[in-house]
Amino acid sequence: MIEALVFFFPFGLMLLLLLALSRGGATNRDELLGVFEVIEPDADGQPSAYGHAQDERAGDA
Amino acid sequence: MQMVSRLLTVMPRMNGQAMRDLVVLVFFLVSCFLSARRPVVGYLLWGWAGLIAINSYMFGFMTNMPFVQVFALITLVSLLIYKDPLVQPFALNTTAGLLILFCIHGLVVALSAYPGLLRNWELYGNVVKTSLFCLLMPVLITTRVRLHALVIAIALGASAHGVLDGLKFLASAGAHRAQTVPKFGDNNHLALVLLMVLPFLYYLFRQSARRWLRWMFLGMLLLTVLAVVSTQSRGGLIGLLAVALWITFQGRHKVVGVGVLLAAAVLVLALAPESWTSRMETIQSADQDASFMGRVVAWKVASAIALEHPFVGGGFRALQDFAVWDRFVASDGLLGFIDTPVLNRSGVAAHSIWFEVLGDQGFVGFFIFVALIGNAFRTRRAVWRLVRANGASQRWAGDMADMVTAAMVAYVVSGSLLSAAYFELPYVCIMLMEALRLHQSRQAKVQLKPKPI
Repeated sequence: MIEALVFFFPFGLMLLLLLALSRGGATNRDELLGVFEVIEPDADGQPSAYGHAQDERAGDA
Repeated sequence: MQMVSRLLTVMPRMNGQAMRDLVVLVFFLVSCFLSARRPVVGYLLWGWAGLIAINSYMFGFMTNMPFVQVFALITLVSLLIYKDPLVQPFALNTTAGLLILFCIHGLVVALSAYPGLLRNWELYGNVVKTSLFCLLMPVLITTRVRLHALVIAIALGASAHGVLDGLKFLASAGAHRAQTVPKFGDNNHLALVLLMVLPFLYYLFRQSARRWLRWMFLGMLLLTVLAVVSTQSRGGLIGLLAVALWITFQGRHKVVGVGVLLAAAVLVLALAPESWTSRMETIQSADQDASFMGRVVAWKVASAIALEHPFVGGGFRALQDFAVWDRFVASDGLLGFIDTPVLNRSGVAAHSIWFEVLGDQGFVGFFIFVALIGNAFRTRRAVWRLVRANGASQRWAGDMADMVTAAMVAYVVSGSLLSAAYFELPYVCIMLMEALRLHQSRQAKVQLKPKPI
């Protein structure tokens, strides 16, 4: 049972993703990804985990 | 109706394997329906199915189902039939140009290959199929949502193997040794696939809005790390270190990163069996290791073939042909300065993406291949330039570019000791970087456009 659950785990998530993308339907808008929603940037910009180093190197560019 | 009632009668008598096939069949039919309506859905399934290698886990009536080909066909047909307003017209860019050049040169290589190469056309076919998928990427993957969805599809496809093996590794208290699926090759190839997906999982962990989803991706990441350990691949360990160091030193929390790395190393050492530690210790004595020195002999043969045929090489997988190997085994190629033992084997794999392409496609193919990889790193800089110009709201694109680069670092480091030049994931990464650059460049144009008063 556990093995079956683990095996179908990526299938379930993939289906969820596809359904979310298909939701646009007639208007073909796919701005929403349902459960896979991404973090949105705030006024100061999105907190970045790994982009900071480039900014430091780039100075005030 | 008759079919359904027959199915309902048969179902209770089905064993686990048949049930698995049945569930996958339902998934397949639903997926086909969804892809037929929207080309981008089919495209994601195409990429996902190639990485998860569903057929390797099927043992019943779905074993021979050509999932990837069906999804590819549906994508192409629905792209022609349905009008997707988010589709961008195909425009030639450096990455696409290099990829097309690689395909054209590959055709010349395949046509002029040594006779009798068993996998010559099969591998060329793989290159063409991968290139077709990649060339469609800037056409279909045009928004942040679509880029994010593609990253999820890649992560779910490739990490499925990692999650399974990681759980087995935990359940067996470190005794499990990961067995790869036939599509990838051996344990070293599986390690490479898993290493390349780690940065994608990390990106999804950082970028997902929902807390449970973040934890899920983190869990998948940790299980995939354990799965890399369970492959007992020495190249995998080196690649794991390279990816971890790359992510740590690209990030802003360097001290925390080093702490996490040390904790992970202690955990791995505590969990890994003695067979793993003794195998990893042999990395220090590679120059005396028969397996490693066998690779150096293969590199000599590969470079000797390239010197003999600088424009077209010997053909795809020429090295693994006994006749070709025996013809060049006495040559030192470009590595005459390294003393190697006499091998009592023939037709040895190149064990390096660089020497594999060099032997298969000569210097011309080698330079195109190097240009493709180098271009990905160059494009990352272009993405960051655009991100800085577009403002903080586009920072996710820079983060994604960094993670794609981390996957490429894994490929370059681990691939240097593996025959994996025609594996699809690095090409997908290279084109994903280009798709990101194109997206950012469109964003820049939108921001420059004067707003109506």
